[in-house]
Amino acid sequence: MKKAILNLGVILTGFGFYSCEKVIDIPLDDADRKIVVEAVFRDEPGSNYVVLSKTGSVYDDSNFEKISGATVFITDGSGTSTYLGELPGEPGKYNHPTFAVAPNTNYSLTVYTSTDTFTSASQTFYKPMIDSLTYIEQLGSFGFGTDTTYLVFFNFTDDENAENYYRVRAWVNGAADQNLYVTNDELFNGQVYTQPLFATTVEKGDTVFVELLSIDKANYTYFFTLSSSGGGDPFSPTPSNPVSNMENGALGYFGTYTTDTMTIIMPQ
Amino acid sequence: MQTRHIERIRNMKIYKTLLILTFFLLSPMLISAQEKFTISGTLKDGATGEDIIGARIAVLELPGTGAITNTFGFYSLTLPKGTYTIQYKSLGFQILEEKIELNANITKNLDLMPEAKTFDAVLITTEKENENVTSGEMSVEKITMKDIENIPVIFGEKDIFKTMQLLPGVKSAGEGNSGFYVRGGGADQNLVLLDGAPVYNASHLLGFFSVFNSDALKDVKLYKGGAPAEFGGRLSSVMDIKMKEGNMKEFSASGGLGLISSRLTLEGPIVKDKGSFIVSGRRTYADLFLKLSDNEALNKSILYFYDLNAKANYRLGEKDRLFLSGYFGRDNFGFSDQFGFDWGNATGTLRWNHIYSDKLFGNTSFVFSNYNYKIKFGGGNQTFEIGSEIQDINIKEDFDWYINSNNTLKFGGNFIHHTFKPGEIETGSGINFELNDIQQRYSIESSVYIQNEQKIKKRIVLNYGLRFDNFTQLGPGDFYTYNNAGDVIDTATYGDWEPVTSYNGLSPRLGITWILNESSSIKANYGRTYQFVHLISNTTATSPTDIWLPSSNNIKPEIADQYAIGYFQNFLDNKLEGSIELYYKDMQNVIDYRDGAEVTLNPTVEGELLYGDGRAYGMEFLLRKKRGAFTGWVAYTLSKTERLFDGINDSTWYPARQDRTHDVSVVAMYEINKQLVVSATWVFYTGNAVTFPSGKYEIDGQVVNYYTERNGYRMPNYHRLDLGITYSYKDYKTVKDVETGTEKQVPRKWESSWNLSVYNAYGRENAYSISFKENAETGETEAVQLALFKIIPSITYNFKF
Repeated sequence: MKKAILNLGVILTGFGFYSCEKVIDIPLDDADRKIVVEAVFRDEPGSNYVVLSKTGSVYDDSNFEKISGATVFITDGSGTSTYLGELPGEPGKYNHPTFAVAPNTNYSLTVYTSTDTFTSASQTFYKPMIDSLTYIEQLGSFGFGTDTTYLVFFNFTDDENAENYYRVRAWVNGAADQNLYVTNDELFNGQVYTQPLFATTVEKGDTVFVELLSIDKANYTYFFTLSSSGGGDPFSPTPSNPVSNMENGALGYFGTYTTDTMTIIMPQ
Repeated sequence: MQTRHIERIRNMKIYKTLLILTFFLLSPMLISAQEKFTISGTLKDGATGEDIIGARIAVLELPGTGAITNTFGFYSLTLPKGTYTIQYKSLGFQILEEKIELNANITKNLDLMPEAKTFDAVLITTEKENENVTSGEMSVEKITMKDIENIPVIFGEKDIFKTMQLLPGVKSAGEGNSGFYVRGGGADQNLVLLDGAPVYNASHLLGFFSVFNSDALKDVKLYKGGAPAEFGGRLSSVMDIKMKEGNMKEFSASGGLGLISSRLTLEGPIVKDKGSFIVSGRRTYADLFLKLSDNEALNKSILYFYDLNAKANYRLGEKDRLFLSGYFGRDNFGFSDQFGFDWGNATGTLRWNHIYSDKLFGNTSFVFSNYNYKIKFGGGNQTFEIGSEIQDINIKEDFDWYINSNNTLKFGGNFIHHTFKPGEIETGSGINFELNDIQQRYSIESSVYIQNEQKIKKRIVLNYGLRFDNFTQLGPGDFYTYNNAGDVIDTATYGDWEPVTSYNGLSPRLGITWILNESSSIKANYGRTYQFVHLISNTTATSPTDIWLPSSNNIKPEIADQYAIGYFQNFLDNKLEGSIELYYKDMQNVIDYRDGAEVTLNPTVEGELLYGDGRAYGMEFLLRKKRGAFTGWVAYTLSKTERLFDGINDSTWYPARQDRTHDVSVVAMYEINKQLVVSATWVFYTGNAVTFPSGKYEIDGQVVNYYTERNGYRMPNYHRLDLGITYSYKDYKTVKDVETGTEKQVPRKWESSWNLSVYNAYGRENAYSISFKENAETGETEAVQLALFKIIPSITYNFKF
């Protein structure tokens, strides 16, 4: 909906109100470098990665410095640690070729770099299941355009035994949709949940691959605050850093997820 | 024996001394316990029958004694028995002198005639126009409708809101933003009253226009501080707007046709000199141009707003008068038939004036106010509608008691029932998932007040008062309690009308004016105010979709204490008014939001709120020329406003978003001759406080900005020049008298003028927003500024008959 309100602003400005955009020079302070840990572990063997990088200056190019040679391991509830190895040719990216998370388990992550130690905790819940993917036809996309497009809905049933949080990711024709969809089961505990991928444009003949992840509360808070930490346009909230579950001052997040996937192909 | 005798003598001496002393002390009272009588009545405009607000009544024989007509034109003056020359004066009217023999209570209802239209550019006046120095008011800005006429504003529309923002201490929220900020307060801290009814969102089209059609207005007063005890409920200001009653003598129509909008006002008597009505309407039609488009979607799009003001009044005899007024306005935006967004206010007021005695005037009001918005997605039967609403029903009783020539007492009470609908959702039959409405909330805000204005000798005016407020939140509903992390830890259910929480507040108000001489004075004031309704908006810009919430078991009332001191000095025989005012405002229980808070359609939105303190202080400087061919003013405000919250900005003071260090407005109007007036406005302010990144990093393949302090940067400086020129056709015809051969000037029935104005004459691109984006080609991050307006000219044709 925020996008729609932004569209309102764009339309007003677009309709001959003589508005314009230009690049300007704004000097910015340069904050001290912080370490960013992005750690993702799924319940598919080998489907995991930890990327260690550093922040950079706003105006520098986006080749962020990666941290090589760090010690990275994940420990499960029974104390078993699994060490990740750095991928050859991808400095800063660590992986374990066969590790997979189990449902309903607590995990902790430990990272030793040459200068710091970072830890984090996460937990998994039951393995979710997508019941179906459905769609409706609409004219134009969110009030724009006049071609036939589709709004894809995902439907799944929540487990009523716990407080559950979910994230849904979509790929349209192989390209990852950057929109963040997160939700919690407060309003539909134990019931079927239907939600559209409301910011994703889907056209005739597109292949849509949907992944449903069951995430923990800290990850939900991270992605939720990440999606609303605005781009500076007047209709987003005051910008702020997402709420991270990394300890000791690192940015980023540690997530352990149980997943399910499904594909749907739009009619021609 | 002897000692007792001496004691008795000593005692007797003491008694005698006491008796003599008492006699001397009482004698002034004895002397002044001579008979006093009251002269009272209503002052009206002789040409239209409109009540004259704030007219001054002076007694030539008793300088320093006088009275002022209240908001309904009523005055009351109590003097000792005698013969007097009473002067009635008001800006724009000829002075009326009446000789009276005061040996009984007299009622004098009088008409003041508008100033004779001389054809000299310079008006000569002998009376002292030093009301700004001698009145007991400070921290107040008054706008006359005449001021607004000539000031160029965007799209050529006369706008009291935009003109108010040119005065010191009042800051516009910026282009594309509705609302304004007064002395560092938030946009929801201003009480905007139209004939006593609160208007919750006083902007059209995201802030480009205000909802007030200036053709229907009579008087506007903005209290930036030191508001009398009859006002409460908002921390920063009260904008008291009075509508015209309507010409009681003859039918009249006026209006204007412009490029973007047009307006029409019709007024006239219901029964001549007894009752009148006024109806005023306005509509924009920017979207008519869209219909010319070939694009089918654009063709079906709409973008317009309209307003309707209507008022009727009737005099039911010597002592009673009835008024009925209403406002209805709506903004409507729709794209194709896929997306629609509309919002607007509706207000209604029924008032009954009663003159209880020569000294007691009372007004009873029944007020209704509603603000709502609706957003609609989709078409056919696959629609999704979100709406929100706030509604007030209000009963008010206000008395003006003119006790004597030195004391005017105001007292009364107010009872408001609020209904809040924070989120209502409706889905079309084609949508198969359900979302529940957010529960409605009800509350009652009641208050009683008493305030006295006392004149001491001729040099001191004292204003003191007390206001008591109670706010009670009522059921039905489920009320949540939260822990420090914002999670719900308890839910309590209440039934219809069951009290959930109650708050009480006592607000003292105190103001002193010390008149140093005819042209200078020092004033100081202190006041406390409570605010019980809060606008929830965590976005950088205010938007019509912000929601109003009541104080509750989680949200405490906001409290402000404001102190101000000022020095007022007039120059050049009161042709030039100057003032410098310093203020300090302390705020408690101010609201901010957790990082990334979701405030829309969130039943547990109260868990997203954080509470802290605020403080604002500054200096306001104003130099104003009110008479002569050349008029205008220079206003400069130097100010700071900050907030302190646990958990935000490392729990240290940070600038509030609306903090602007320097704010300058220069307004100049020059009457070249009776037909041509040119005007210019130049505005400059340093930018708002804003949060920019101090670094960036990568998550999930996307670049994410890294922020350190809150509001640590500033937007670029804003400045703009507006120019305007008004050409009025001669309002008289030269007619040759057939018999005598001399030429005579006869007033014309149809008056008209052309107004040409240019907004942002040198086309500066003032920043509306700045975002940090990756350049698609180079991959580098750049600061991209969006500016809304460059040069916008407009032409309006105004008429009156």
